[in-house]
Amino acid sequence: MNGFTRHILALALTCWIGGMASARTTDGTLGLLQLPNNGIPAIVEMQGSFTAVLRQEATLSLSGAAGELPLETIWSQLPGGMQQAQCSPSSPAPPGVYALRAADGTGTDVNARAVYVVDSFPETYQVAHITDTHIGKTGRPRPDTEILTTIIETINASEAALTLITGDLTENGEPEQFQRFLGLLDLCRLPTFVVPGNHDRKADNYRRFFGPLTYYFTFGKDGYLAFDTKDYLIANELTGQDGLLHFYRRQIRASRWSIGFTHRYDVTMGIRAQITLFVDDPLDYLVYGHIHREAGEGDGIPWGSTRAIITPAAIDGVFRILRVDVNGVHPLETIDTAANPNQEN
Amino acid sequence: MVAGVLLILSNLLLGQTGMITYIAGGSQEHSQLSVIDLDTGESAAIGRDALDAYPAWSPDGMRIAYQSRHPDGVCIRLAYPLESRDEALSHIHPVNLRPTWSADGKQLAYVAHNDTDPLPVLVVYDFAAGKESVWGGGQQGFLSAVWLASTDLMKALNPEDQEAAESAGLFKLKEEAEQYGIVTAIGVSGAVPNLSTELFIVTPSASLPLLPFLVPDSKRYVKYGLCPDHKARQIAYESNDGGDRELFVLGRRGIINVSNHPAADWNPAWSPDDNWIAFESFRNGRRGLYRLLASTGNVTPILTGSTFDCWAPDWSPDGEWIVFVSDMHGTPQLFVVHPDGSELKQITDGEVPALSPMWQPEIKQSGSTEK
Repeated sequence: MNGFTRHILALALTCWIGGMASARTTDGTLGLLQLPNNGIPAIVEMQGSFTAVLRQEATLSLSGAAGELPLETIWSQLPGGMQQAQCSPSSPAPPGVYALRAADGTGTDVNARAVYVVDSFPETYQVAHITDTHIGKTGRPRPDTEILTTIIETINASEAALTLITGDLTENGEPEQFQRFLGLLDLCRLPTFVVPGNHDRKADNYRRFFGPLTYYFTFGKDGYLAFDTKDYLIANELTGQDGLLHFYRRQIRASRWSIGFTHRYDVTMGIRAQITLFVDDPLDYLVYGHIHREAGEGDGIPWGSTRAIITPAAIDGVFRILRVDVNGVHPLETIDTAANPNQEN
Repeated sequence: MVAGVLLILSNLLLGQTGMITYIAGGSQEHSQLSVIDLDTGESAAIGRDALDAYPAWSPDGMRIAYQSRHPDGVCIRLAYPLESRDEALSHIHPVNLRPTWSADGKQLAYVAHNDTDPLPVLVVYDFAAGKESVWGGGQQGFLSAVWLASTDLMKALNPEDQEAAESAGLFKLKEEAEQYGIVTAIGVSGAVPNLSTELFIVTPSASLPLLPFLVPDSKRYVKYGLCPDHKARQIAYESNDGGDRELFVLGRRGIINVSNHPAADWNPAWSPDDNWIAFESFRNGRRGLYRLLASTGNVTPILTGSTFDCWAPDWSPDGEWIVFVSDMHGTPQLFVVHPDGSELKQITDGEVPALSPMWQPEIKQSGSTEK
């Protein structure tokens, strides 16, 4: 996609998102439509298909600058009563960003910025990495929303193709903070993929706003694996994430580059997860934050070949661009958008 | 796919008595030790709801040791489900994790560390003395431990290079094992950035990596999922020797790859008669339950699905049932099934996940419940 096309797309998206206030339920949590959403979108080529997850079967369509595009669906049932649809546009969808609409006879649900259609996946591209936005944190020189808005505007003006946001989205995991985060998220014209952080753990709020804590997606030849770095003290090996990590890792085994992204890496995190991700079939890269600073001596993955990419906190006004090409994933210099950097964590 | 799973409110259909302990919750905020009574089918929360985890029945079936968070870290607690009481052990270290009982129920081993150094040591609590001691000569890096019920395996451990064994301290360790008992542990080995794990044998004053005596290039591989059989004559463990994660059995016949499949095999659990190993495997895509006959390596599926996982198997004392966790209905819950895969039944139906089940051993009124 060239710069002109990007500009037009951004313009169209800005205009179009303004009319998407009805997305999600009134409190901002996911409703009939669970996936994809603006925290876990689908990126497909024009003839491609994607998977949607809903609370019940519905008539699905894409809605974007090009108008309304009906989707052909093949349904299957998931554990827990959820319905899964394999979705294909009835006619090729022009490149752009789309909302996913679901009508079930009683009403319509809309997930804004849920589907991105591209004409092709590039060999070389850029990824924006934002982490530790801490929406709701007070006592900063600038309001949290202003800081994140500046970062997103900078990313919108960059050549990045997608954005990873690795946790501590909120300061306390409160619904009001997630709602404010969502409002800022939709300023971004790129696909935005989120994972939770330790500050987002309040009841089941993160899941209610974004869905699964563990997932994977592919972008062209590259595979991305998102997971929650759980607290080792409560024995994360008891839960089901370890099985999903292994299963998803296998799904992206054939990728050119395998890129994990999570909130933090800690050598004392669940050993089963570490063996799966860094020993038996090591990820090429792990992208994370949490430490609110640049990587230092002693940071990194001690198991062997997985390379760590650590970005300081967005609440301090910074983010990073990663360049992905045939030679690997290359973290570029941190971009500082803050007027007063180096504030306390 | 599994169809027609029966949720049983009365567990009399199982032909089992006693209890299964498990953790209800599993979130970053709530995890509580719980039990389900197999006579009535009723569940009860008996823990502290303080991020409780890793429940372990005492061999007499009277107590459950578990880890639970407290203001200064994580402690080991003892729940007495028949007496509705619960108490905490006193610790040297602020963080104490993953308790495991000695075969006579007189000692409890766990790993422990302080706030500044996350590499755990192995600690043994002696109930008669009412105090803890650090085993392994203070070596750090132990991740989990299991008691060996006897020293039979030590007798079988006769490396060809007696001189090397002597210099490594194996013979002294054998003597100490006869006197105080012995623990096997998974511990960190190697150095950053090439960290690994190793299978250790641990006594009060010593610890030795076990496999290098038998497999010279053992340190190339990362071991996990340690499980001795009930007579401590063989140890099942996982290793990525061979490229993917496989189950191996170390015994008098040496070391045998018993699961041998291109998909990963995890978490071995011996049947009460020590003939079978239940385990988790991804050979059908998602994580499913399988069992293998240890003498032949013949593997048969117990339960697998294309859209859900099954994990954490534990055998009933008579070997007639296996309890496990599955998310086949959404939220992970406990299920039981015969080892041949028949008579699948759901036994919990809570709003929060039910995890980490452990079947109560047959109760032995040995009078050894003093703390």
